[in-house]
Amino acid sequence: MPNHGSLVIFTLMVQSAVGSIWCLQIACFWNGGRVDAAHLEFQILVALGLVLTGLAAAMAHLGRPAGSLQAVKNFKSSWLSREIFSVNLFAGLLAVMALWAHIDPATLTGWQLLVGSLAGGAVLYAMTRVYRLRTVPTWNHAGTPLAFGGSALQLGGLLCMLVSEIITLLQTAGPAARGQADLRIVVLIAVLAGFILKILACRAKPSEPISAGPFKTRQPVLQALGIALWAIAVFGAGNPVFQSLLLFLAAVCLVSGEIIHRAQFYISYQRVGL
Amino acid sequence: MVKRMPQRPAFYLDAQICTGCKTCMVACKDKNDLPLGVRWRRVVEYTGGQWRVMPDGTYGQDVFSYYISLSCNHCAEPICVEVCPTSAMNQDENGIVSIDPARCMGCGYCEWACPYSAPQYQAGRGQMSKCDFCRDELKAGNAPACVAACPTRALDFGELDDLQQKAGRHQPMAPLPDQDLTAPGAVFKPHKMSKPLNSPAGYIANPEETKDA
Repeated sequence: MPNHGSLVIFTLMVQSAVGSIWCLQIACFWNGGRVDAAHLEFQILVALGLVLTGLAAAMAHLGRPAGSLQAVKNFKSSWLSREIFSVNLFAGLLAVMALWAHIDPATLTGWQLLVGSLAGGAVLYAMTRVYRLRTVPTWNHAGTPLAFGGSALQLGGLLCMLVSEIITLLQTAGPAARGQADLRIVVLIAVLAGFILKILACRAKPSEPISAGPFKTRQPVLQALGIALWAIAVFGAGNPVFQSLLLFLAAVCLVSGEIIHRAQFYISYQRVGL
Repeated sequence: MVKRMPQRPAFYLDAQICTGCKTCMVACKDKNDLPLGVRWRRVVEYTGGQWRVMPDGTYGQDVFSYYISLSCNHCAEPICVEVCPTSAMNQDENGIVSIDPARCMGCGYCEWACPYSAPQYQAGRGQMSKCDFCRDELKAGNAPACVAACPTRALDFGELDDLQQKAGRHQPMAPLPDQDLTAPGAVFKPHKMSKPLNSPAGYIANPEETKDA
């Protein structure tokens, strides 16, 4: 069996792309249907890049990657087929929206983004169902969708924030400032909601048959530390350089926590029978 | 042994007389030219028990051990066929589950799902592989290689309905999974010492011979 590293990359990248579009969507509605045009285009492009990189990583775990063109043939019964279809559909919609944002950003509002958000929701649902196999009790429980949803919100929020910071650095302060402030609040709420979902996911999980060792304790500590640093950066740090440093450290903590959590998920695989 | 090809072929194992000699495993590997680590048929040794101090101060034991020779059970509800994204895993009109190599992309999802470890990854080809019930032998009126090689005749094959009648109704035994998960098309006659489903009394003594390739 090939190693699961590429699947860790695939799931985390696609989930972060989905979460970032959700955050952008909420920020759009929060801010009266508008978000800074440069941010919108850059954010969609980054999400598209992540999905495509994730798909490339997923192909790396196949024994015969050339056969992946046939991966949607069993759409009628295989959740893996449906996942691959929905991820490609999501990527296609992101490409269309990125083009739209580039050509005529004024007409791209939260309502158009809603199509992408819904496609992202379908991706996340299909991804969850792939792992809810009736023969794998260590994955087939409510903890799996909660954990995947939590990852999407946390990583998506993080991505949205980082893109916003980059745009702010590149632009001069102006009319977008209010939108950026709203976005920060949306993102912080998303990250906190993601953390709560992760805690609920841990509680929903049956007792673990395999010990994850010290990583088991490092993951929540890293994520809580990441959120604390984030909150300080958003609400407490006045100096922009200090704020960027705090955000960078928060991102490192959150991403490493997510990688550890996802690696643990694959290690916990244990099916019934032989 | 020459037989007419059954309409719904199924394997039959009498665990009471299986000695765990693994001739079936060797015959399968030889017939299908399987590489190192790939085992379409495996023999699981399930064992347990210990010495105990009896009430009169003497020592007694409840040690048990039995063998289950296992390949793909060509289930009535094959989860591998259900989950395969490319439709490479398919079931023919006789209920035999096999892989179409032209379609398999080697994702390993069938291996994750199958509770019998039937689909096995063949690294050299980058694809999954599994028992096809020696379909060529069946069509020629012969027994599958594993059945033909069994020295004690513990392993047999035939029409599923006939085998179920022959064996009668038995409780599933450990360490096999719950039959409701996939409705396996194989009949197992338990050993007299066999433990019930999900029993924690024993363990698989030869995991290195049965684990995934």
